[in-house]
Amino acid sequence: MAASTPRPSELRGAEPTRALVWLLRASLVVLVAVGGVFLGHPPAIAVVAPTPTSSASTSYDVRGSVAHAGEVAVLRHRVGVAAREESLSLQGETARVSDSVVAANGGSRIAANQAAGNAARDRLLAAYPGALPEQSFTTTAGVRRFDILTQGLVGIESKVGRTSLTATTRSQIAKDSLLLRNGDVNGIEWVFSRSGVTGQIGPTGPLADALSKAGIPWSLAP
Amino acid sequence: MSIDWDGYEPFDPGASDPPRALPRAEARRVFKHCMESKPARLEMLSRLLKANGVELTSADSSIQDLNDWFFANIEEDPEQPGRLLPIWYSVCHDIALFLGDVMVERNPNLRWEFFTWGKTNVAFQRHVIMGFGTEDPKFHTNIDIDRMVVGYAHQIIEARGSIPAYGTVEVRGASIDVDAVAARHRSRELDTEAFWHWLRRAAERA
Repeated sequence: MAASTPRPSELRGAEPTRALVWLLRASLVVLVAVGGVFLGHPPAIAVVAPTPTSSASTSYDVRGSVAHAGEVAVLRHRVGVAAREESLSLQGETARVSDSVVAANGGSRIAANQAAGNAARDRLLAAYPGALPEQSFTTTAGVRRFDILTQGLVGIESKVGRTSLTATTRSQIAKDSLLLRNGDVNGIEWVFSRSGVTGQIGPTGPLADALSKAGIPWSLAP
Repeated sequence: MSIDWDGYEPFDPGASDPPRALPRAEARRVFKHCMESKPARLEMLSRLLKANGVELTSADSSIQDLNDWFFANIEEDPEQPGRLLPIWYSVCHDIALFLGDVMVERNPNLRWEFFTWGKTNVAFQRHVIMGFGTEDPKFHTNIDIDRMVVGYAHQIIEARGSIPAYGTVEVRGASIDVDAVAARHRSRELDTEAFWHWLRRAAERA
């Protein structure tokens, strides 16, 4: 349509009415385009399969359906929901909604929903980090601090050099037993490393026995 | 294995950092938001479960149904080994609220609490269950049920082969191969009645 429409510069010297007609036609084109977007009929909107070029795409779990114009409204709804919910599980195969494609097609509302959804998802994920160093727990025997806590809730206690059963290690074992019994952790392991000073490594017999009795595995770091 | 999400909307914690990393006032606001949104979250969970054939009540049999459903359906993120699909963190959050409420319902001396004792504590500035009558309050013992549910979820997906990579961590000059340690614990049998066990243990401690 644009190609067949003369520009004002081409109308120089023409009758004023031709310029007026051109302006009216141009306005009509703009109105139709804008109206289409507001009426929920963007020129095109796509659910695209993952491609290497869609680097800005967000991986929603929008499964199945819709890539043709008749289902645009449904898609818009679903994408909006997906953006809020992050993962929308419908039936069928996984598809990917591309931020860039949506934005390029004038889906500003969708893009806004998507951005809000991404932010909400990021906040949700931030609330659940993976492994954590130096985490302590409260027990009725006092505070128990692990050197590492995995996201599967395995507490790791690191010991360097030859380690014996002392009041401290005895107390640590008691606290470990409580944590295991209460379900605060899913597992505990004591890892012994060779001392750079003494060259020694591992638990003494009594400590190994105490760990074994408490059901706490231990290992020697290579 | 296909979940009917039935319009399920994930929880938004309302903060961009974990509670432990937030200033006290903001962490308290997050806690307040968590507690205020609890009825809506429980309703959302109930609707989700109903759509998938599970009736959510505080009866032991229902708790086990919930555990079975969770165990069977929890999904890992295929793009991030060892992590859940984001929406499942929300489901974990909702289930934790439900289990915490059941603990409180069955043991009225228990309560939800904003945990503020010890910056290195794993529950720091999180919503936990406290008030155990059998335990000295000076120890601030608690049940971080939310962390337990998420930890359980991670255990389940790891057992199915979605393995996170932790690498080697230096602890006081010693190199700890965290992957090797985690792998040894992965071989243990998973508790398929964890929710019920946690409730029973809470009752013993209450």
